[in-house]
Amino acid sequence: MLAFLLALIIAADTTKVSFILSPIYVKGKVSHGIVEEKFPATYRVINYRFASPTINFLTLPGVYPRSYLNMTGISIRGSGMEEVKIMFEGIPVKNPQNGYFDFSFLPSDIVSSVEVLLTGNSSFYGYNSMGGIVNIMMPADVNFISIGTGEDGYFSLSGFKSGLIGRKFYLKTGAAYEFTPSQYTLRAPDLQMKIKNAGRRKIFAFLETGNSSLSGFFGIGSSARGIPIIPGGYTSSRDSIFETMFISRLNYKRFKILTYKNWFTYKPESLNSSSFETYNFHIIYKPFAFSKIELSREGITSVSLGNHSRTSLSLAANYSMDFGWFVPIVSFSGDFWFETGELRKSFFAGISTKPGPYVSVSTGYRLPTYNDLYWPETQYAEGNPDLKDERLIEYELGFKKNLNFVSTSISRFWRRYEDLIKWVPGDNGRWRPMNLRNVSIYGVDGNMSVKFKFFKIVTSVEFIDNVKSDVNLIYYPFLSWSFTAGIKWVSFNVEYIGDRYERLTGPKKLPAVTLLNMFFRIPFKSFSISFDVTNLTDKYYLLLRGYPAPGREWHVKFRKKI
Amino acid sequence: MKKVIGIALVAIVIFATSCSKETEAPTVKVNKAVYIVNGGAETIDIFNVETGELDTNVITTGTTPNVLKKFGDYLYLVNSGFGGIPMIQKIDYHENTVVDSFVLPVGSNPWDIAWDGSNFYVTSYTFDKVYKLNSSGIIVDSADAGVSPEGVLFFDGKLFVVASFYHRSTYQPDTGYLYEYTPDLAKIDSVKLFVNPTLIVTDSEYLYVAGGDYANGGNVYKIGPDSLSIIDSLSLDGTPGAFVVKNGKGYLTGYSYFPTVIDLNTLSVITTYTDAPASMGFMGIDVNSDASKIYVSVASWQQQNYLWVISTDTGDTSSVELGNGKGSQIVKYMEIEE
Repeated sequence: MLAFLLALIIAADTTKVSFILSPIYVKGKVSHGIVEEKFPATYRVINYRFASPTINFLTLPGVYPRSYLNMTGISIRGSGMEEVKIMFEGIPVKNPQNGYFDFSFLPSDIVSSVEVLLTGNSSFYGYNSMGGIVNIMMPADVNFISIGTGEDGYFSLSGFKSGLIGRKFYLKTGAAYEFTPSQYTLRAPDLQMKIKNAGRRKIFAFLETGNSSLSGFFGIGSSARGIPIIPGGYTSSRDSIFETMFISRLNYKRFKILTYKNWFTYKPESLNSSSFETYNFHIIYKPFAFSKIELSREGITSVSLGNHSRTSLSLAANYSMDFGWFVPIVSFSGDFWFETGELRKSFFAGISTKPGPYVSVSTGYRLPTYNDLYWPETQYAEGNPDLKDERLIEYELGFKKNLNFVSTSISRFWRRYEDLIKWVPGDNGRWRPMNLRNVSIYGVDGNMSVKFKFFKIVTSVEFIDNVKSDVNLIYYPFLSWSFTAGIKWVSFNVEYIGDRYERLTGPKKLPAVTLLNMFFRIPFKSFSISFDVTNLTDKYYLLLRGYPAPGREWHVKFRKKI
Repeated sequence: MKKVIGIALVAIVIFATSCSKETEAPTVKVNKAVYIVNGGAETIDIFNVETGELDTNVITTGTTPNVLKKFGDYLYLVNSGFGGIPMIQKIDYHENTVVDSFVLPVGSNPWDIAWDGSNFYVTSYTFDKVYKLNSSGIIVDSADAGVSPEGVLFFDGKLFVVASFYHRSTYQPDTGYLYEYTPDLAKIDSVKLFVNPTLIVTDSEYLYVAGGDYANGGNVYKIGPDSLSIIDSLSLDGTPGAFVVKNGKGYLTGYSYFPTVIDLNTLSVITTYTDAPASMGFMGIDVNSDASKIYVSVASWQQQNYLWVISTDTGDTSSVELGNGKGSQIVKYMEIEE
């Protein structure tokens, strides 16, 4: 294989200089918010670096992957993954039933990069964005076909095409399929045992069309996966969970309509079958550039949880002034929830300066999920309809500077959560969610990128130096860093994930792990070949107890322009 | 001269002997301690009954510790292994160190353990079995044990297993059974009990099985070990999760069931203690050697945990703070000779 790759390198078109890394860089402007435009201090874009759908793709400081039952979510600055707002091309896609969006749902060819806003902020992004905001973005270049293979029968196939219809309307369309045979492998050398779990099949297709005043985006995806075999827990590894997602975005002048609909069927071998439907629906009107009126509705239809919905009307306004060497920005929002008659207020205030220093304070909140509120009463668990919202206030002080070949940022943050929702044993021994914990998290994160003509280095680090809580911050590393270096078509990445508490109390920790990843992308005139090996040294490690992360995996992809 | 030498030698021998006798004089010291297994923190705390000192997180347990029992010179901790490796830890309670670990099949969710002097018997909650392990912890045999077996007891040359019949696929409890086996795991007899029986103890004459479905209280059945005949029964206001016997009395407690003392002869409730440091979370119970003190663990997975000490003579109670969120589940009173 190595000889083959060397031959490819020699045969490649050497007139092009292409960097395949840059896992982190900052964009100056995006379309869906103004924080990034006016206040890009903690805004990052992470390239979707891996051909494989592993959870590694976001192991960058400040952003940490979480996994549960073959799902992948994201934590930001010590938050829970239900506290991070997830959007797909600007469309909120979090499932209100459990507060998650499963990143593993999407074929990897659908995703080109991920925008991340590290600061929790509900004044710009609405409810459920207290832990930070993530926006999944598709490839901008949509004229290619791609086929890939890899470890244990990994297979991917995709094709994207764009063009004009007539003189005014543009069209983008595409579809991707991916099969990942196993995402979790339990390896216990002492037991001479190796359990491989069921893989996952997923497909996604989209269509986007429109002109400058009217446009629409429609996407539909489906996924089938097994429940991973974990010791003492679930024993089903066949396709047990079937999930379908429909998303759309309609833009007409100052109006925007966003829709997310999810159908979920759960058919494990050893547990009860269940199914439910959830939706998010938003109508947004921007009468002025600095204001927004948004009608939001989300709901669930479920045999076990019942039928529920909640509706809010939000008014938001922001204002910024450019004084040359510094830019102050303020934003306020009020969300009125019709069912409870409650008004939720949020704000953001910050000053960004040209020399580099910046400071901000922001608030956010999250609604309890439908699981939290309406989990059916069983012998062991029940929901709690009296739950209050979780709330966050975050302070940030940082420095950010972009020079010709060096860009750097460092941020000191303080987060205080109130009324965190946690499931604990309640009356009659039943587990139920309660507003219990107040948590403060202090930390530092930063990154630096150095880019020369043929050479690029990107390094980043996150260090959480203090957590004030009556219990441990679990499954989140207090120290993590990443170092990537590349020349032309090859790059190596070293990631360090520090030890993580695995229990709310006591000294038990998952050990720290250092991972080595390698990437090739060899561009030819009309096609490219990419090859990656993740977890090159085949380290055995856990991100969550009972859920071993993937060992060494390789993938090859061939992409041809059309 | 010979006499003098002889007398001197005798004197020396006597002196030497007396010296050695002095050094070999018994200096046995008994340490009285309560071992508290924290299911949340997955550690063991040790409370010195005599000094009132608490050593926290002395021993790190396996995953999901469930039952702690003493056989011979060791403690054996059953770790159910949810999300990890199920194992039985062999603990040297003189040194308070884990000296061996017996790994069980992944996913077997071992629940309880018994000892016949040569072999261990361990119930597998998820595989509906009872395993027989040799003294080295190697599985040598297994047998079917109804549905979701929990309590296990070796008594009078026979093995008794309580099958709770909690249906894991529907989350519904059902009427459980008590099974009787030979030491070779040949099933001899069975008797139908009540809904969700989980615990089994003996007073060296009868078997006592306890449990319940949480929603409708609990039960204690008194059973003759020879014929498995139900001799008497007692309805409880709550569902017990821990049960020990001492000096003709039974001591029960449950998560939301206050510690209760019952008379094993008449099978009636003697008293219930409610002056607790918390309103719920009574997970483990044990008594000292003369039953003058009851030790109860009061568990919380978020708030303060307590070791609640009840004086049976006066009814006075006191509590020891164990720490926040530790999930203190099991207590084991120990008298350890040094």
